[in-house]
Amino acid sequence: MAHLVMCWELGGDLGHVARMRPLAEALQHRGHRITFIVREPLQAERLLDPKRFSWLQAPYQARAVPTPLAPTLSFAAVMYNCGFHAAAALRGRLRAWRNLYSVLQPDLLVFDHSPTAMLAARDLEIPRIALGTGFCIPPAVRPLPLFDPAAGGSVAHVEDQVLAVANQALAGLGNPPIRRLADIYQANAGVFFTLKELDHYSGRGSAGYWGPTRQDSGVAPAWPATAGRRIFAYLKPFKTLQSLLEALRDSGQAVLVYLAKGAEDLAQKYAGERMTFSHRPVDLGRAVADADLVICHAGHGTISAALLGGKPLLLLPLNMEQRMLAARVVELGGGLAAPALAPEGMRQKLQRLLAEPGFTAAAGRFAERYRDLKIERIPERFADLVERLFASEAP
Amino acid sequence: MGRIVMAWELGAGYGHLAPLLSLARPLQQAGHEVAFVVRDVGAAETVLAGSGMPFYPAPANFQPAGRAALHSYAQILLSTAFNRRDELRGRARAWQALYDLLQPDVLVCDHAPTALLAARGRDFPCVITGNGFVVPPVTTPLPELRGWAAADPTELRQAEDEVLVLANDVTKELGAKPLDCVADLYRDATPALFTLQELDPYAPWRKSGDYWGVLPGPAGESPHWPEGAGKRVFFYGQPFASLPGVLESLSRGPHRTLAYIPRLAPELRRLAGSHLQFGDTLQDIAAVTRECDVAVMTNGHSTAAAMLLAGKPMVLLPQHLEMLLIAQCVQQCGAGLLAPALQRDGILDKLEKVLGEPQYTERARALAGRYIGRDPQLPVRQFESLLTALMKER
Repeated sequence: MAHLVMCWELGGDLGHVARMRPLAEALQHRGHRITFIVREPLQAERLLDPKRFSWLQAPYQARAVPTPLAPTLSFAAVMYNCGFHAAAALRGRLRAWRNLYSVLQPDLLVFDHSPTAMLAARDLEIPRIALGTGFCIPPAVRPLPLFDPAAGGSVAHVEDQVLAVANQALAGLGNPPIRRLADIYQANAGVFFTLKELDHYSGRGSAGYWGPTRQDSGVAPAWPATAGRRIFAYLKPFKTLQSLLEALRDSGQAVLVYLAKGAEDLAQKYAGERMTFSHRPVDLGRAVADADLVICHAGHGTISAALLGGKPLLLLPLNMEQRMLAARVVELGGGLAAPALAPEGMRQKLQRLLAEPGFTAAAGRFAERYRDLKIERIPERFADLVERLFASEAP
Repeated sequence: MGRIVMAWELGAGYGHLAPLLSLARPLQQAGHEVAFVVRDVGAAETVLAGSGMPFYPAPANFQPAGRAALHSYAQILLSTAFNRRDELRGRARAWQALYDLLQPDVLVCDHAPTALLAARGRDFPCVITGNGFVVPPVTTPLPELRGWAAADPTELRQAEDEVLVLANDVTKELGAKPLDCVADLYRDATPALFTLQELDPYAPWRKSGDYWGVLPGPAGESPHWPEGAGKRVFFYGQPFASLPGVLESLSRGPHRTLAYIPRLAPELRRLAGSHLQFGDTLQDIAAVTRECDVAVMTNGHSTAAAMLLAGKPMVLLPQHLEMLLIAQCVQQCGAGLLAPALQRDGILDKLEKVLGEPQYTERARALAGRYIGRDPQLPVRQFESLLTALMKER
């Protein structure tokens, strides 16, 4: 039986551990051993049963990067800001990852959003799998492409700079250089927990699109007992949240808002006959099934659940990753994005989404296309992949 | 032969790793395996490269609570490592996983409270080491650290209670013995206190035998002082807002200043001249302290100790609590002054006082006299004996 080490290096929140947990459970069920290496032990504690799984701290950039790049036009800039700014800093993290591999002796490595971890594993003869949404696995091109091709900008110099740092660090470890940053993501298998249309990078070419992973459940949606279409909104507090709530109230529809944290004063003010607020996570599957329209900050999980349920979206992206995904949804006609979060813009787009049937139709076509997608099979499918790789690499 | 794990969980810079490495070397030479678990793997790469001692990242708190003025070790814990139950549990489990993996025969903790917490109920002995700030006394209640501006004792007791709630949530989860007071966290750990009484914020709570002396500082470049007749000023530490103004003034003399400021803004190098020189790399602290007349410094414990042992006075520019406490100690024993407001005029005035009025230098010399004839290698040998004995007992 194999010892798998599952690594999560970058990004905050629960999403990465949440994604890997069902995979680990399926593998453990087949008798394999899993060790997690995580950026935040807090997220492991929140999601993993300590009787079943153990976890270690992932190496991270402790000292702040002196002059981070802003704006980040490509993943190379993100890497720079996460500690690919100086060879000495990177070398320390690479060495720490190597030391962990050396003492853990994994038979197979799994990486979610983990460039340093992957770079450290590159010259070891351990099979590796890169997984994640499109954002976490940049396309195999040089230079790593612009996040927003429409906006334009130059990325070659950042690629060159970060590549030089990476190669200097590798040289310090006695390892050969890489030709381009994308080589960091070379793996025995790349598993994209998304669909082609929801890949943050369009035009990637063929890839292993397995569909989104299952979402965490939550409480049953408590809709207002009123007539009208149903709008489900999954929101965090943002500057113009109140304007959005105004527009929702004025729409005359039945609205359920899950406000992840904060803004209790607004929740109290707007809660009423036609709008209810949940302060606990809502069961996304059921909320989407009941809803006619979904509003969110363009997180991958909510978008995929809505579209696979045939429901259109109003998207309010708060960061670059979300803006990329919002653009893909708009491209396929399944919704509208209001990235400026301007009160009038949000109101008008909400009205259009309620008035024009085309968005629902496009979402419906998307759902139909993926009617046979069985995301509950993903953990078993992943376990099959692991065992195939393990078998082919065994002496 | 045994397996030694050296844990450094909190703090920054090289001030923890460099001393730990000097303690580790003889143990490695004696055939033991030494591994480090560190706050900053970048710093570890710099300090430990080529040593043959592997390092791993210490479980990290990504959202520390960061309270305002801290008055006791309990408040320090609440502000750094002990904030949220689930977060603390997650890290304690990560430490436990490391212990399962590394199988230590002895655990050495330098500013590593969660490491200590997670080690409860395990069968290996612990050592708690470092300067006074990170080796609190075994006492209840924990001492007030800012005697000159004390907090309400009720607040301090409350802080201790909060720490106990968090810590005992973890001990319950891990099936280990709970704490009755915060000092229980390190009560069973053998202390190896590497500092001088004169620099110890907990001095009133110690016995003279508690002090193991100071560890030799890192070697470095021979200092290059500007030529001339003025007093020699060693300027050392981190940049701060009024640093350019201070350096500008020093560059005009009459003193001769050697400045080692690792993160110096490049444009300030233009100030170098007949009265001010910049060192580009770590300076040989023994030579510096021997040759200087005064040090003006923002950091650190090791340099302050070296200055005292060389009988030289200091002007201290603390930027965080640990250094503030050391600075207060130095001022209290008469061997220097602190300028905590970090204002240019205040700093320069205090420098003139310390250089101009003989009592600071005289006091520093008198204190140094207490340590004449000490064996600088004794602390390291003593530590080696301690660990050897602890590992043998297993």
